[in-house]
Amino acid sequence: MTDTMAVPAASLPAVAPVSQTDGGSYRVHAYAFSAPAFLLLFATVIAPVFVVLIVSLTNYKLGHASLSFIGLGNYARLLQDPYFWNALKNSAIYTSIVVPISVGLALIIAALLINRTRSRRFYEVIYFLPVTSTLTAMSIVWSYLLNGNIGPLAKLMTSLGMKPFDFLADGDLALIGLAVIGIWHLLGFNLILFLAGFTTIPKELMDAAQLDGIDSFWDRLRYVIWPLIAPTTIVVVAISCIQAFQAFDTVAVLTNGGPYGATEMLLYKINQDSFIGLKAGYGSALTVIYLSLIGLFSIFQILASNRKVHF
Amino acid sequence: MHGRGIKIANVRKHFGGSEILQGVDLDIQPGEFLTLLGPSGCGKSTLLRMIAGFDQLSSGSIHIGGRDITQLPPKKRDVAMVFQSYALYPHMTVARNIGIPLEMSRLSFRQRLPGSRLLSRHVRQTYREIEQTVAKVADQLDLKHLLDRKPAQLSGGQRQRVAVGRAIVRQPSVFLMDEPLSNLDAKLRTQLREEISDLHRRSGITFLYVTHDQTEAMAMSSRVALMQSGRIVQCARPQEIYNRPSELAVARFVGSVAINELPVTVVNGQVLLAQRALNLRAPEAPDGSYTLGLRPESLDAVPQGGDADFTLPLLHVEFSGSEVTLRCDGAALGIDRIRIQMRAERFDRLRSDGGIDDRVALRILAQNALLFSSSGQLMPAPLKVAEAGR
Repeated sequence: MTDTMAVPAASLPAVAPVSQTDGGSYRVHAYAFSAPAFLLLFATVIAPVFVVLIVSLTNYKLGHASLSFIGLGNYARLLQDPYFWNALKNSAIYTSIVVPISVGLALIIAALLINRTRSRRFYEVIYFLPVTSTLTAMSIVWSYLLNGNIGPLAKLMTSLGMKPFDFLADGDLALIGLAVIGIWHLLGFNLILFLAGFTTIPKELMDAAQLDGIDSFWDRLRYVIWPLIAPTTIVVVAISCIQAFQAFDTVAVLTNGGPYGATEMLLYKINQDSFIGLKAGYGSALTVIYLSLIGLFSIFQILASNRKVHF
Repeated sequence: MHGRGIKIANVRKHFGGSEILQGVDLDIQPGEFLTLLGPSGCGKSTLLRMIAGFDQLSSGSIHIGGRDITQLPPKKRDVAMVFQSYALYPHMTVARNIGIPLEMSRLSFRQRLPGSRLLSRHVRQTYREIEQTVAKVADQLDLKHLLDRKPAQLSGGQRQRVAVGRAIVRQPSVFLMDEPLSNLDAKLRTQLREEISDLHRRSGITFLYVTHDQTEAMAMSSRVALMQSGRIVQCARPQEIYNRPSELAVARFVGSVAINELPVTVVNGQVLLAQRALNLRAPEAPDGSYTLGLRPESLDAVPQGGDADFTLPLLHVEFSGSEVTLRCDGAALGIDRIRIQMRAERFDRLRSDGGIDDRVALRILAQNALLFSSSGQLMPAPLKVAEAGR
């Protein structure tokens, strides 16, 4: 009895250090292997965010040698700045035009495409082409298409006896003009996401729906497709919101925020204030606001897609 | 509810270069329970999907109750279907899953919009009627306490019953089932098999059932249509399929223990196995080589040294409750194994009085023996016991 008791007691201390060093070296290895990724992420994403946060609390101007901390002064000024509110409003309007239309249209086109067998590939390529193109270059083409004097749209409207729209020069229409280009650019991407989402709908379920009388296009969309791709829809909406809030290329190339600030959006204003106006501190405060809005969309997406949603 | 007959005439289906159905003819009587049985890829599911209207025919026609439905959309064919995956709507409650076919057929798109219930008395009334019908169906299928659940909260058997509920709520005249039991465990399968048979008897609907499980087919059907590579090989009552299979392929597919196949020759009506005469005569078969098909119960163990056809070394004994399956080494007969099945008590008796030791003496029961030509066709004339000594 005493013998059997003695054996484990003696062997225990011998075993324990071995397992400890094993665990220790495993941990060291784990950190060593993840260090490059962590350092890269820190240097390129996390550190800049902190730098922006700190700069936003200063009156730093690009090119100046000195700066002083002014606390929340930039943020107080920002709330008083009518141009900030104008840019935020324009971004919101732009997003609320681009997101519903690009998502809704992509869903409908995707629902039309799932039953095509041979022509589906062709349409996928056609709709995806704008995504692969350079928006800056394509903006030039669009500026011609939408031009009120020489553009084909204006010519068409004149020939129909209507007064032609001059999209990008008219203060009331310029934002809509940019939104049209934004939708064109985003549609193909959303379409591909929806088509990928459709592959999760079982074929037997679509057959059963046909037998149950759910066989018209709108009924299928309403009772089967739309509820079953709710998780995909949330991802698509969140990504589209982020994309729409990032609208910059078209503004910079086509309108420069004009006419009279009608198309000045958040990212463009940040660029103007920081690099043209050289007010880095103020620009950083704008960037912090911009980042927190984008962050909100991402958090919404993560929360929603973690649950299994059915509408 | 009452069933209608289905008439399938010369139905063909090409897909790409291959012919999946090679001219299928089938006449299903009203109220019949017919099973399409066959290995996977034989075209049985394709045929079912064409009757439901999901796939187009390459040629041929399908009539239900005398009406040509070949070109009609699925919902107008008066058929209901239970799918292998049940295909329930995951976002709808059990009640809604069962009621949706009625909702779709009785209300227009506008009447089904949210809020129309508040505006129209007719819509309210219709929804109330649908609710009552659903409750009645749920009662029949013992689903009443589950009506508010979603499919994800149900067990496999319950889901299967919801799928049946959704199918019978429309009172179809033809009921199609595509391997509805294959996702369930063995015990539940047997139970639901009985429930489906009961449902068929009670409702009087025509059932067309697709399976690759021959036990299921044998147990439930009034007739079995055995399919192989795109054609119906034999369509007959289960007993006939088992006892008089028209081809060797049918004989191989049917039966829970595989049939024994012995290479034999016939000379002057006498059946010879490995140059030795068996106690069998095939009076109408021309001389030549044949395959003798013997079901495991068509071989009888007899006391050794008696009038056995052959004696073989015993390899393995397998008990399955009331039955015993013996596996013998068939090398002496030119085949790998011979399987014999007998009642457990008979096996015990033979074992105790020395009829079975490490060797078994076997005698062929002539009335159940099957003779197939070299191309695999059953020779129509039954075999006889050789009367005179050999």
